[in-house]
Amino acid sequence: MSDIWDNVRSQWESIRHAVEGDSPRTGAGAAFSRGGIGLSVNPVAITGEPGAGKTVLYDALIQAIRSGDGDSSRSPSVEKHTTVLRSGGRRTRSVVTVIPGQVSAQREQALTDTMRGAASPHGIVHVTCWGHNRIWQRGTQRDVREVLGTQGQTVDREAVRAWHLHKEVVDFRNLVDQIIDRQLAKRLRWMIIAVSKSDLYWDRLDEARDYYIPDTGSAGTESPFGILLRDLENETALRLSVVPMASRLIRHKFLHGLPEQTSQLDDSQIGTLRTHFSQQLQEFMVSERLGGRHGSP
Amino acid sequence: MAALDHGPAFLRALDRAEERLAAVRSVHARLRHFRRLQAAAAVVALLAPTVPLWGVTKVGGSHGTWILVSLLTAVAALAALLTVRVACARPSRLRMTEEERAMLEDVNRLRELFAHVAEREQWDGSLTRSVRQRLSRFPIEGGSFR
Repeated sequence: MSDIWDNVRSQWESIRHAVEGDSPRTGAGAAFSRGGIGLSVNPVAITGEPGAGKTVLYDALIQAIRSGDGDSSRSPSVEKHTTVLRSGGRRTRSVVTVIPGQVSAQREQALTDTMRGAASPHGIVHVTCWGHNRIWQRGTQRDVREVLGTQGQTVDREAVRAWHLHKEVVDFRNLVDQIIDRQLAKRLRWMIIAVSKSDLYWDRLDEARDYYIPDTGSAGTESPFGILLRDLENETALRLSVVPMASRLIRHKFLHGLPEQTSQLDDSQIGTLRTHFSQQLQEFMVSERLGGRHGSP
Repeated sequence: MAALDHGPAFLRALDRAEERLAAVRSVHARLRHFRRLQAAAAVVALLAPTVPLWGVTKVGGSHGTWILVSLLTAVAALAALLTVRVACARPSRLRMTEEERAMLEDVNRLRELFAHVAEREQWDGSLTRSVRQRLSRFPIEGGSFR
């Protein structure tokens, strides 16, 4: 097994222990907040499938989410934010762009503005959710149910999860291929895979870990996502990380008519996840400022 | 709408959505034109009260005549503004909203089914890319229209 994936796994496990209270929780770590107008040195893009929780993740990082806040909604456009990371006495300014997940005019525009040609983020936070994507429209939920039904499958949460995981891999393959072929994000230096909504499947976190983190020990049974991540590691010099995350307490319904799934963590455990995620982000952003390795393939 | 989970039905639905997108864009352009007309009519209606002042000093004649001219001009401009709004802009806007809603409903379904259909129909890379590009021309629901 390559060292990098050993490290990623051990970091994943240490986060799990911290959340479960088996190890001392770390302090507040890095704090993110909205920034004003100014020069940005750290362009960051947040990517991922529709309904994976990209906007909610950003809001959680800048602590814009409070208990009792209303339900999230679909983002209708590109979201560009200036953010300040405070860590000790150091302040790092960053422009964070949330790229819409839907194949759309707005997504194309965002990709052109932030990733194509001379434009490139230094870091990408790719948001995944182990098949717990939200389908916004009732009509589309009916379509998914019909298609799964005509394939002779039982329409249950596993079938819907598999549906979303397939879409997630197709989307990630597209991103990885374009990064490797240097069609996108030519100045990219790091990527974090945020395995979000982990509070919904905390009891199956091992499965999610084995799905997202490559493992040479299980050669031949590696997940399609793991294969792509390994390709990215082999073909580029990017710094990579895979981190469990949960942005807020949520209830999730795979499809109308299927049972609702509720959060298995509490607010403070979600706070611990957020702290570790912020620390990872801080580590990549700060080390990049201090001259960390670059990601040109 | 019929099931879209096989290639020909998917592509037919995409064609239909593209026709709707063209119709929506055309109505959108027409609405911009109507907005310009309404703005021009409003400017005329606002400037009309200055007509008597201008007429008496530059052309001559009685105040009463010029006030009448100014009133008629303002009324005509307001009537034009209302006509454009009620008879042209409002029906066009209603039609655009309806077309846009139907188009986005179809496109949202196509977006969700795209990866599944491409795999099931074993589309080659070029067809998959082309369909992705075509889907990329549609806006997100609630997003601004370009």
